[in-house]
Amino acid sequence: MSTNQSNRRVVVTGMGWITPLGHDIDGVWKRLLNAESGMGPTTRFDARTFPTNFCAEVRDYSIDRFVKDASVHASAGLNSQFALGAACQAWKQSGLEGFGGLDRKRVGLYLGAGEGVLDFDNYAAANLAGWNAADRKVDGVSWAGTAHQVLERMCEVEQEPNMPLAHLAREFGIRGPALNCLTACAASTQAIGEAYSLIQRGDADVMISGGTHTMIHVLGVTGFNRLTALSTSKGDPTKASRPFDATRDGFVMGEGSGMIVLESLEHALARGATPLAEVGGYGSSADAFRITDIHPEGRGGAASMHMALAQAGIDPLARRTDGRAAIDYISAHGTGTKENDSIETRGVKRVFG
Amino acid sequence: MSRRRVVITGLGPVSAHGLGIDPLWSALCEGRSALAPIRAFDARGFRAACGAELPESFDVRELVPKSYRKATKVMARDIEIAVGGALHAVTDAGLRTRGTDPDAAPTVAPDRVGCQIGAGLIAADLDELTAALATARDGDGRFDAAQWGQQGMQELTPLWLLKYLPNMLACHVTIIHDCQGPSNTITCNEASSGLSIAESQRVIERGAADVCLSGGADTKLNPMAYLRQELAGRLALCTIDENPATKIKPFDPSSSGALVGEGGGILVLEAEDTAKARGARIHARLSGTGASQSWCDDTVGLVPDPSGESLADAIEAALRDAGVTAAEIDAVIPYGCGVPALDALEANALARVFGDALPSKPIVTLAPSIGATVAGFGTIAVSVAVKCLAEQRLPARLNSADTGRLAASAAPSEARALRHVLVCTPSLGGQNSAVVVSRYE
Repeated sequence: MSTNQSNRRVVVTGMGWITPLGHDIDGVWKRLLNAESGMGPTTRFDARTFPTNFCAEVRDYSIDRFVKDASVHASAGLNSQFALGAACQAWKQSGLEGFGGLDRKRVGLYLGAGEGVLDFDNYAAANLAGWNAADRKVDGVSWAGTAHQVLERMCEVEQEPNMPLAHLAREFGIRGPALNCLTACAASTQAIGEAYSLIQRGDADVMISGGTHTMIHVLGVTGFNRLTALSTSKGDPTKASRPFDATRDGFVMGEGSGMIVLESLEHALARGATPLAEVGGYGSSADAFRITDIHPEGRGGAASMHMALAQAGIDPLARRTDGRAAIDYISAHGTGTKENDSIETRGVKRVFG
Repeated sequence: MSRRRVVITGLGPVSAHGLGIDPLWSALCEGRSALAPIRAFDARGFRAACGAELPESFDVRELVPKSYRKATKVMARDIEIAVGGALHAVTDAGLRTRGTDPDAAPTVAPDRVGCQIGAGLIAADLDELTAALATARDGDGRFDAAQWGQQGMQELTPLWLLKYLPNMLACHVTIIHDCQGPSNTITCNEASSGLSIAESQRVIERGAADVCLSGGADTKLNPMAYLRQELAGRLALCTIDENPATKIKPFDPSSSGALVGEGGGILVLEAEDTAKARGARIHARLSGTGASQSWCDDTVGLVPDPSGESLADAIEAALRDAGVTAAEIDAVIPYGCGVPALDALEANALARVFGDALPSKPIVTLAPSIGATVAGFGTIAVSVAVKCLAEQRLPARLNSADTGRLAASAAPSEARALRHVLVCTPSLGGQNSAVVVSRYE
């Protein structure tokens, strides 16, 4: 049913990532091919007694080697820091930094960035200082008294989920449409799809898109532990994440950022850039089923795959002339939770038979 | 190739004056303010102790199907606002959904209904969380992570996290009304609603849905969220003994800041072709949207781009998108919250767009009546714009005296011929949004 309203083609001209396996495309790619793992004991806070005390942390990272002037980003939270590193790599690879003809009002941003990290120790201190055990309420006035002393202005502002946009805009002088979506695990895929749609519509020629997030903090791990979504495997953390395996027992939290530069093909070719790939189609849907459960037949997932394939003009059941399947690789969510992997498999089967 | 036209068929604003457009419109025209001492928590420890809260009668349990009442236990207030607004909007649009009539066939096939809802950063309920934290303290009364991991966290309900994820607004709304089409949650502070409305427009234009429940919701009336507003320099000085109704003076340099208001809601946006085919009552046309990002030395700080250049870019993009000239705009609804630096930014932007004609463009100011509604603003403002067009009337303006070249000083409601109304806002973080709403002809 989706109809392409323009024939404007959209290509990828740059990419970058900050991950638990490293901070550059080539190095991390090699480690992925070597089946290395970024998992290890949680060090960001004392998680020793938590049901899950391991995760995949970004290590030894600093924005200094990526940005032009780190002092401009002195207040950046961890999610903005990851975003800056990833976007600088993508921007550099795209060659746009040295392109004199760039109209910055035609450059936009669409991120799927998560909220920043709560200043937990000080927040907890304010909460406990204001706690009135007798009526089981926090007293607003004494909470405010402590909070005013211990919570810092920019640290609080940086928790707003649109702050990575502000940092990237500052770094690259971006003045076009800028949006952030926050749809949990779907966020950066949606961001890329909507960025593609903005370029197709003619609202921008270039968009930086991707996502950045960390929930490796006390309340993040608490929240997912309470939902019993995290692996509680004992022993080697590198063996805890087991997508699609019959013995899987939950996901393992990672953190980081991935960014790409999207560009209209016309704009890329006119400046002599080499497209790395093309965005062929995009789909989005809602399960509209339950708060905690995915639709048992993978209805929503299948619907968005159908939409993306239709827009790309690909029949998922067709074979190419050389006999190969229509789609070569499916990058599944594959979280390793009992529920997700079996339902996701059902959704994929609904589409590909 | 001609673009698929998008119209507005349902209004579900939620504000301190109540649910739906009627109580809001009456209060705005009569010049009543809902600003009052905050009830949600004892706010006397903050710069401002007053705000605009939803009426005490607001009860989300009455706004969901009976079978869904249990789920209201895991709704943060922001989610409740979206859920209440959605029911009003679909009812106003004459749409049967699983939420309004579970036993009848829906008016529009669920896979043709999308949902784009803007949200703020939702703060956890302090009493609930602290009751749990208090069980994990060391000998000095400080939080102890070891005790928390072992036992304390068990005090939180298993679904605790799901109350506070911003995408849970759309999650609940899509489940209640069975919206299976494209869905998203935009989190750009004050620009969230406007950018969500623009995204719904694109989704309908590209044929991925025929109807979208679109809007945004926010409340900052939680001590943590409220503190962030204060730290960001948003709050006026207003003690509990002062009269908050006269405090907020948009575009008047003597204003000392903003007071926050809960609110937002949902609109039903629809393709003109399918709306006509089902015989829908069309309120107005969503004729264009625009967006931009601020850039200045302090982009990552608290007041992006005081020149207003980038907000002007967003407005001009919306005018181009709508095929309307600046001269054709008959009224403007800016954020106008009473924070002098933000008001100056908006005034500069409007001066860039309208030039010498600026004094002849009536400005509608909402903040003195319903507070600064942050992520909910665009939804409320577009609803008011629709009503202005339908009634051919401007609401009253309160409080402001000296507003320079802006026609924003206090004035009673007046009848006025209106064809195109502009809604716009900058944001903390620098994203700008503009929407042109036009009389349906």
